[in-house]
Amino acid sequence: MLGVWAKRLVSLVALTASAAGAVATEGGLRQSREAAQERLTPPAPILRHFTFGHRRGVSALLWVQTLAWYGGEAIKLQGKQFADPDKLRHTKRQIDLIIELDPQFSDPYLFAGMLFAYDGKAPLLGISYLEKGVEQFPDNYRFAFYAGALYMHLLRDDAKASDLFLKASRLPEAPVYLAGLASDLKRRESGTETALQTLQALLRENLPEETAVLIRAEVTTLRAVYETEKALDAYKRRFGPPASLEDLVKTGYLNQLPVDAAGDPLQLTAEGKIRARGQARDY
Amino acid sequence: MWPLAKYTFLESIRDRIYLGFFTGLVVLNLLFLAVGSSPWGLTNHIVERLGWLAVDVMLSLLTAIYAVNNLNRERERKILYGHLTLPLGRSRYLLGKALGITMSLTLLAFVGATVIIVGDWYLTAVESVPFHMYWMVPSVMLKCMILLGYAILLTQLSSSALTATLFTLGLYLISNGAEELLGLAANLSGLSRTLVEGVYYLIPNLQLVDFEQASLYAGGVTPERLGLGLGYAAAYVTATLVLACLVFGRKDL
Repeated sequence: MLGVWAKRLVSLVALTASAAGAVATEGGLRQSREAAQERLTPPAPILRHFTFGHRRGVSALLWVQTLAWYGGEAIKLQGKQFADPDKLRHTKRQIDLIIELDPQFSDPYLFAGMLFAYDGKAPLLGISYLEKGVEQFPDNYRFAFYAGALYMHLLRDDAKASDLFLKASRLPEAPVYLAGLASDLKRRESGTETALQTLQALLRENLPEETAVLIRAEVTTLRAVYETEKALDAYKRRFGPPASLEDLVKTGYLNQLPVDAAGDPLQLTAEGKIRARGQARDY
Repeated sequence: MWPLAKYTFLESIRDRIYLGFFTGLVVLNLLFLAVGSSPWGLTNHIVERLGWLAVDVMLSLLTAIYAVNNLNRERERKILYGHLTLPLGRSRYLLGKALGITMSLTLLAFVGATVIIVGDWYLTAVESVPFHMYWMVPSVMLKCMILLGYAILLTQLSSSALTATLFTLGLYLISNGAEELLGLAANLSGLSRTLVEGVYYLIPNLQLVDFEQASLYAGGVTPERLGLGLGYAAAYVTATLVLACLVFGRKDL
């Protein structure tokens, strides 16, 4: 008799607990999908012990889930920036979890790098993910390239951007323009001589032929710019600013009008700087 | 032994496990397609990882459930007695069953890998067919064979199919996370550490025969890695089958 009552009691307790659990979960899900998901997903140090050898698969599942959630949120925002701190914190937690479970999965590093830098307005946080990518994938140029782009566009740190572009330009499949871009930034940051030395050092490395051809042309141009700048400085000390580069030829500071690697003449800008035709910016 | 293996293999076709497995994988690929047609696209990394996970889990579950049920069903339906009236020892009966189930699982692993490879190639439009995914076959098969050995042993030791299945599934979960157990032990101290370390040495380490990491990231499985996996699996399968034969030989049917 007691056994039957005991069974009934256990059943009642189990039913009540299940109902309470369902109500709590449903309420939690209604409150905030992200908060509920965070409560239901254990932190990385615990989760990694309970993937039962399927860390990479679980990481891929979490990645698809994160992308689906992000896509849904992005659609709701209708083109506005994804800047809600709670949502960004949730995204960071998910990305950290995915990377912890599968550090060799490259997509999350790039995604986090761009998302936190542009939408989250936290470029250093974004760069930290890309730098982790640089360490994890030393042969993939994209991480150094995107980190350099963030330093250049968002932090206006040309020195770091230039170093990263230079690093990326040495890696397989890197676009050939990267070395030129690095050289432009180096010139803006540290002057023509440093940019020239950097490119000459790069030429001594074992580069793909396509990149080497472009760098040789860039070195030829930079050398012409450097010689012209030296002549210009000497001219200025004696006569003041010249009206054109022809003044330097007439006074003997230059033997002839300087040209870049393509044979196009170098130009003297209104600010008194030397510019090659292929360069988009003045220095 | 060979006719029994062939009979078991054909029996698995009659049981429609191929149809179920193939349907499951096609549904999975359709799911990939649904996710893949979203604006952010689907990279081949995702299809390969999820595909590997799906085939691994589905075949492991199938091994545990099908092997136990196949053996148990023959005992419950008295088919076993018919087999044992043939000039066939009890050990040979078990080995024939093991061989037949292994043949079925090998074919299923090939089917699974092919479906995932075709899905990966078609959905993510990779330039070349991702043949490296065929490493899934030996990887999943070695795991399944270790599990099969245990499933057969546990069927002989357990009184019901349910307990044998549950024990095999539990072993599958723990064995897949054997390396994690060692990591967990490092964070513990005293008796709990000794206990966790003890469990680690008692159970098979299925991660030793898992070639996913080497195949997807490290550019291929080295002969040393393959040799280690084969040797480890062979030792475990031999030990469990010998034990199962010993138990079955003394069992009062």
